[in-house]
Amino acid sequence: MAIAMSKTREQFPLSTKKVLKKTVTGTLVWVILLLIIYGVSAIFLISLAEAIGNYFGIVTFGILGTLFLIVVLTYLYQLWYYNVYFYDLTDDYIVIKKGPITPHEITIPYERIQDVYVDQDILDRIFGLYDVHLSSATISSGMAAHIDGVEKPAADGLRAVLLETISKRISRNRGQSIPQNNTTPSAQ
Amino acid sequence: MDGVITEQNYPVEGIWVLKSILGSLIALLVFGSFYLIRLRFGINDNDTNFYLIVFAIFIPFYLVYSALRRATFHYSIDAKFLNLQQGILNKQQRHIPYGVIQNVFVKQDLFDRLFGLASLTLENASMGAGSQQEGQTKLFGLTLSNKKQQRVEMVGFSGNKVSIPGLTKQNAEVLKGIVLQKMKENPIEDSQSGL
Repeated sequence: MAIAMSKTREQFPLSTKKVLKKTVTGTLVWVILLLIIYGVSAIFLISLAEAIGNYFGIVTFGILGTLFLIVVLTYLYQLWYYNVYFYDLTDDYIVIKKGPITPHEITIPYERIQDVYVDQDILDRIFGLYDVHLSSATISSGMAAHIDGVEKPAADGLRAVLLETISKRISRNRGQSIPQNNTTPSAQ
Repeated sequence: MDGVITEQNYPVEGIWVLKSILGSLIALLVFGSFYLIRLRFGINDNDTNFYLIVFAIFIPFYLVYSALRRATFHYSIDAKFLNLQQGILNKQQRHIPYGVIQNVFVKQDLFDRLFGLASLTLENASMGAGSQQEGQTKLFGLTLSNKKQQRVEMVGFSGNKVSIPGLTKQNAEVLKGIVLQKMKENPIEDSQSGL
């Protein structure tokens, strides 16, 4: 499947390790849950094997098979997600689009960016990934506007480019507003 | 100037009205079939009966409500302001200067993709009169996906959001382009950016 490429993504690529990391986070709960169920049922079945017959093999096969299926499906979905993940820093706006099944696209003008924020959770540290967040003053932009799963050079590069563009645009706007403020008194 | 753009140019498609109840309809079908299966096994309980009937009665009401919402929603994109009108009984008008728009969303949920629709959502940072508690518009909108995607989207504005769902995908992209262009042409003097 074709990767949703943009100039920005070419320059600051998403790490392929993002797919692995997302697979781990997506399946961790299932893995733990199923292993606990497996453990409990194993004890149960082995201790009752004489009374009800030996079902241990079937249960092992069933649970491990389910686990395998979940992991594979999650991996494929995350690969798809990775492929359609689109972000582009255009001249005027930041465009981020994600979601293979229900696409969701956010466009933010640079002047509206409230902060640029880079973080790593514990799995990010293991995989060496960074999340670059940028949000406007709304709650939903905080959830939608982030580029996660880039490696250090790309994260630093993205941050540098963002900060530079934002400060340039803000100061350009200020520069325009000064002469106007001199001629007309401010509305306050 | 190329004049004022209104919902006549980029309408909320009629099929959106149908889409707005589709979630509830599917839920009713699923619960209904569960119910029928239970009946076959001779389990009948009046509570389930009652809820199913209430649910079934509300769907046509919601259909009418959606249709009225769609019919009473008007927007116009003029040179300086995005003018909005909505309301079936109590009418509301809202005027948003392009400069304060914080971000622009284009979203498609599962049913949108089925019908080739998309919804355009604009947000400003407003906390004032126009923005009551969000979620008040939730009626029988079934929460289909995770909390991030929220409920089935109603047409119109609430909170700091303006939603124009049910546009064709193409219209949504064009309208987004128009709004972004207006935002670029009308910057506000004082930047709200914290940087």
